[in-house]
Amino acid sequence: MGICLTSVTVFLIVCLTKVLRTPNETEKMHGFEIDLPDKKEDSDE
Amino acid sequence: MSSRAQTEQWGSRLGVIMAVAGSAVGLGNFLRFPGQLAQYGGGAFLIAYFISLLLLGIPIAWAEWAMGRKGGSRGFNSCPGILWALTGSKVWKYAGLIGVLIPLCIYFYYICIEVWCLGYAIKSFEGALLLDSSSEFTQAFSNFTGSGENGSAFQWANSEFLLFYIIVAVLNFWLIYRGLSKGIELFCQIAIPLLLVISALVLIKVLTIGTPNPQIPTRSIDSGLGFMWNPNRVVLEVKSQENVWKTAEIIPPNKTAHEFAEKKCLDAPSKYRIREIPLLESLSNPGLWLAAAGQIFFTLTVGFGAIMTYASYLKKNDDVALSSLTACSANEFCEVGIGGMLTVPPAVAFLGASVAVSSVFGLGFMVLPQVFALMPGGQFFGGLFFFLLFLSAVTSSLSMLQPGVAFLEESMGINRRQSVTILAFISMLGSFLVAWFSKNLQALGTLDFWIGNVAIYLLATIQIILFGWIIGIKKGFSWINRGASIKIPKIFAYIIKFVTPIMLISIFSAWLYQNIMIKQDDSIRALQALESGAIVGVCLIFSVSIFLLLILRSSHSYKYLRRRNLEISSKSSISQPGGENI
Repeated sequence: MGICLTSVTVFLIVCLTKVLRTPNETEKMHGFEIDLPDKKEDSDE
Repeated sequence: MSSRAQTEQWGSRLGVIMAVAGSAVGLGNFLRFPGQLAQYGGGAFLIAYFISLLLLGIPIAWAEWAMGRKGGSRGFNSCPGILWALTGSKVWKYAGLIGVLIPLCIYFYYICIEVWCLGYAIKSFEGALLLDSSSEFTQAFSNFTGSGENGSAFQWANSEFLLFYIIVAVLNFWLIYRGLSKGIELFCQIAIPLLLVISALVLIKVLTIGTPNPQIPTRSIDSGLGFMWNPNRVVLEVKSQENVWKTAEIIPPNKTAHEFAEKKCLDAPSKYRIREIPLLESLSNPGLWLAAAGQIFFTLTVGFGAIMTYASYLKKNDDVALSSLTACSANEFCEVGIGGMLTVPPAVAFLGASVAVSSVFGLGFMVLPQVFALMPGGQFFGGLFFFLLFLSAVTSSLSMLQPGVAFLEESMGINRRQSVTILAFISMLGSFLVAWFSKNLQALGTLDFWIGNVAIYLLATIQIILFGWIIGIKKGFSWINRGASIKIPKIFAYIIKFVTPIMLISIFSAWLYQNIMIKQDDSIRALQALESGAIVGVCLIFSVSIFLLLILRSSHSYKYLRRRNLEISSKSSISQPGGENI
């Protein structure tokens, strides 16, 4: 029981901490990106 | 139309995580999980459960989030639209209709369960659930839900059901009408922390009840926790009338309890026996693996179509890898950390192990009210517990409405107000029929069997095959990694491509074999017997399917929407620095 409860609690805390510490994409973007209709949408993949 | 796709977005990253976690946290966390955990041997079940989480739950969730965000960036928010945008194939577009059918049909009966939760919370606070015998609790449930006779839920004597039904429906549609960030997101951001606070209060009460009846030392909160969690368990078994040994009590590791159990065996050796169940014996049961994988599957709400719709409102470069994992972790915390301790242990402590293992509704609405009635301060804590269930049910039901709203907006080219009105009409009609044909909860059971089980497995299989094989795992994996705040190990690409589909198909086949070939589910038997509730359930599924199919067939807005969206995207990216939604 102890192992399970500790695992799920640590799992949640680690994930939440990482979410709160990582800024959203909009916050770290400084430039802007232009997508044109004829541009291949998956070119970056 | 396309401007809607541009403007409607989540307010914050934490907001969308809360909304997805709210969609996942529901009755399954607090009632289904503890029942399964207790039934299949605690620790052994958890080993299979965490393996399934790693190989099934998290990979499907990542695939759904990634496909949803990608479809959203191409201007689509409903499952048919997203699948069409990703493949360009009409076949996949029509297959995507299952992703609208599932949440809508589940909502038909889920709203009834929400009404029960609210009703039980208020009744509990009022002290109306302080009854004496188990038959009185069964009768109270039957009276309130109308499970005794069709239409009895709406009789004048039970007018409170209708009142609660109206309150719940108005609350749901008001929140949906307010939109993503001002409705769903805001509510989930309040409801999830509130849910955690309430569960902490009930948990403290439950963990401090000790041994309620010193005359029966085997019944204590310790033995309840042991029953739930221990991998190796010592049990007192009793021979049933069919000559089958069944677990009667869990024997906690203390001298008094052992002496008590040994005395029972000495008094009636043909009726009682003490047995130790080792971990390996539990793990060798195939039913345990099936149950664990099924629980993971249902608890994370993967395969509902809801996560895909929610993720479609993310921006193109928003993270999905960590957000998805965080939503899963919040659900696991609520399920394992809270659900695993809140319900079955006090039921074992007050009523014994044989009563604690019950069906979801049996445990929630018949066994637990008895437990709270016996517990000091149970009137208040019982009310809190059912309010907790109500909150979790509301957050889940919101995720069932949004796919329908998005589909109507997208395919009919209407605004949110119009689509919410149409959806409200359809869902009220459907849920009224489910609530009316309430005898033995057959309409509800039929919908739950065909939609809440079969269709969900089907959609999840479609999604994972599409992601791993049709789109291609290389491209799919790069979608997950785009904007990701964490690096996902490459091994998950192989898991998504090979392990998850094989596991999913095996579980689905085994589940079908078990529920249709070996022991027919009650809903199939009811359908064969042409019972009205089962027929209504099946007719509802067919009529909604045809309705959705007709809308999709007559819709000309998809091509228009895609073209317009791309045009507007390119303009807005130039006019708005950041242009993050392109």
